Amino acid sequence: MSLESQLLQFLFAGLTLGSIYALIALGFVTIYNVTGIVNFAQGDFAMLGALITVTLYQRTGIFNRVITVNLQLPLPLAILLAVVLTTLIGVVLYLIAIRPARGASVISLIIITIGASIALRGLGLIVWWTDPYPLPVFTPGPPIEIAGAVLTRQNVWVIGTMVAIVVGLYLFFEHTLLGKALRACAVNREAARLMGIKADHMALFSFALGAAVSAIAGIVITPSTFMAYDSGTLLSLKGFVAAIMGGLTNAPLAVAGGLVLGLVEAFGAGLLSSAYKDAFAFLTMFVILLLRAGGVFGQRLAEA
Amino acid sequence: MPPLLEIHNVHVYYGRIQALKGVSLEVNEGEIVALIGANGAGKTTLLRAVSGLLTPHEGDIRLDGRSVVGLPPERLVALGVAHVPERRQLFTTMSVIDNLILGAYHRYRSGDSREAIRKDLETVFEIFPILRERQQQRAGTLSGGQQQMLAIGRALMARPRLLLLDEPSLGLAPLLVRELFRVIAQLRDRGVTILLVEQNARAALRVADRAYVLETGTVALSGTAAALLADPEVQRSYLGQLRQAM
Repeated sequence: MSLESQLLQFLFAGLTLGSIYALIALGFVTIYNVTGIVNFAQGDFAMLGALITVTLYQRTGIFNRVITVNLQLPLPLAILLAVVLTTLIGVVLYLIAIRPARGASVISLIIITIGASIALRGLGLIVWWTDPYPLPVFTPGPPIEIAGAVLTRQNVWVIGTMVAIVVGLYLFFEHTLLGKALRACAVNREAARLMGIKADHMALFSFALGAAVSAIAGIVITPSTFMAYDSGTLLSLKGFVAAIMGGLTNAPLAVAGGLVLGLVEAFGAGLLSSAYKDAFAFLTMFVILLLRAGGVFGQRLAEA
Repeated sequence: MPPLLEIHNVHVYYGRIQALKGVSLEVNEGEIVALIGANGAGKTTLLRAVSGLLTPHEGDIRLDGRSVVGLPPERLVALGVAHVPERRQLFTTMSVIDNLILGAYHRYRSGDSREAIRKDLETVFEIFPILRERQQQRAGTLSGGQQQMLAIGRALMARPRLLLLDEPSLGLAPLLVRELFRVIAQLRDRGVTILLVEQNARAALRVADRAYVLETGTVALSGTAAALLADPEVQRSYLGQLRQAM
C-alpha cells in the first residue's frame, strides 16, 4: 500500500469516527444551549440506542440471559423503535432527574448528569451484561475503492447520516417555529418566556432531541465497532471534546471539532501508535483549552 | 367595567430587602399611564410583577377584574400583556424578522390565523419602516434606537391589550427619544393601553394621560400627567434634575 493510499485510508477512518463525535457533540450543544447543562449522559444514549436495536433485531438474552427477546424485527423498524425508546429515556431522565432540580446551580445539574450516566451504564450492565454486541452492516456489499484506499459501505452510512442530521438540524433550527423558539430560549430565556415560549417544554425537547441524535450515532457506528454497556463513557468524553471546540454553543464548530478529533485520532493511530488513540483526543482537548484561554475561540464567542 | 389593570397593595421582597411596599394603581383601557421615580424606586419590579416574571408576596394584580397573581409570563402574554423589558432583551443572534415572528409565538401556538399575524407584521413595518429594510439583519447589530424599535415591534406582534414599556428611552439620543415618544402616542391612538416606566420624567409626562410617582417602593404622588408636570414638588425632584442631566 503506497503512502498516499494509506493516508487516504486514515482520512476515511478519521471522517467516519469524526462523524460520530460530531453527532454526539451536537447533542451536547443542543442541550447546553437551551438549558445551560452539560449532559454527560450523552454517550450513554448512543449505547442505549445501539443495544436496544440489537435486542429488537436479533435473538438476545437479557438480564443475565434469564429473559430471551426473540422479536427479530426488520433492521429499519428495530432502529426506528430504538431511537424512539431512547428519546423517551431522555425525556424520562429530564423529568425525574433534571427538572426537579430546576433552580439548582449548573454545577449541581452537571453532577446529576454524571450520576445519570453512571445509572444508565449500570442499567446497561444489568440488562446486557458485559458482552460487546454487533449489528450487521446496513447494506452489505463490496467496499468502494478509491486510489488504493477502501471506504466501506458502512463508513458511507456513518458519514451520510451525519451530513443528513446536520442538514436536518440546520433546517429545523433556522426554518421552523419550534426551532426558532428553542434558539430564543438559548439566547435569552426570560425574553423567550415573555413571548409565551414555555422554557420548561423547550428544555424537555432539547433532551429528547439530544437523546435521539446520540441514539442514531450509536446505531450507525455499531456495525463497525461493536457496542457494550460501557462504550458510552468514552463517546461522551470524545463528543464533549468536540463540543468545547465550539465553546459548547456553536453547532457548526462542534461538527468541525468532531471531524478534527476523528482525523487526529485516525492519523495519530495510523502514523504514530494506535495504543495512544484515546490519548490523542485528550491531548487535543488540552491544546484547545489552552487556545481558548488565549482567546482564539473566546473572541469569536464574544462576537456571537 | 373594571379597569384593564388593577394593582392592589402589592408587596415584593428580594430576600430581606423590600422593593415594593404596598403599591396600588390602575390603568384604564386606552390610557398611557406613566410610572416615574428615581433608580431603585421599584418601577421595574412592578412591571415584572405585572408580566408574571415575579410573583408578589402580598397583594393582588387584576386584569379585567380577574386576579392574575401567580400566573407565569407564558400565560400572561396570551391574556394580552406584553412586556418590553429594560435593555430590550432581544434575541440578539437572530434576525430581525425572526425576533418579530417569535413575538407572535403564542398566537401561532393558539392557532391564530397566519393572515392576521402577517397583517400585524405589516403594521409593525408601517410604524417602524427601518425594520422592514433590516429584516434579515441580526438584531444584535442594529443601532440602539433600532433595537428599541424592534423590542417594541416584537411586543406588538403579540397583539397586546396592555403594553408594559420599561425605560424605552434608555441610552437613546434626544432626537430618537422624541421619535420614540411620538410612536408611543401613536400606539395609544391605535388602541393599545400602555404602562410606561421612565427616568425621563418630562418626556413621559408629556405623552401620558395619568402618572404615578414611585418613591422607595410606595406611590408618593399620582394624578393627571398635566397636573404632575405643573406640580412644584415633581418639578423640583424629577424635572429639575433632568434638565441639569440633559
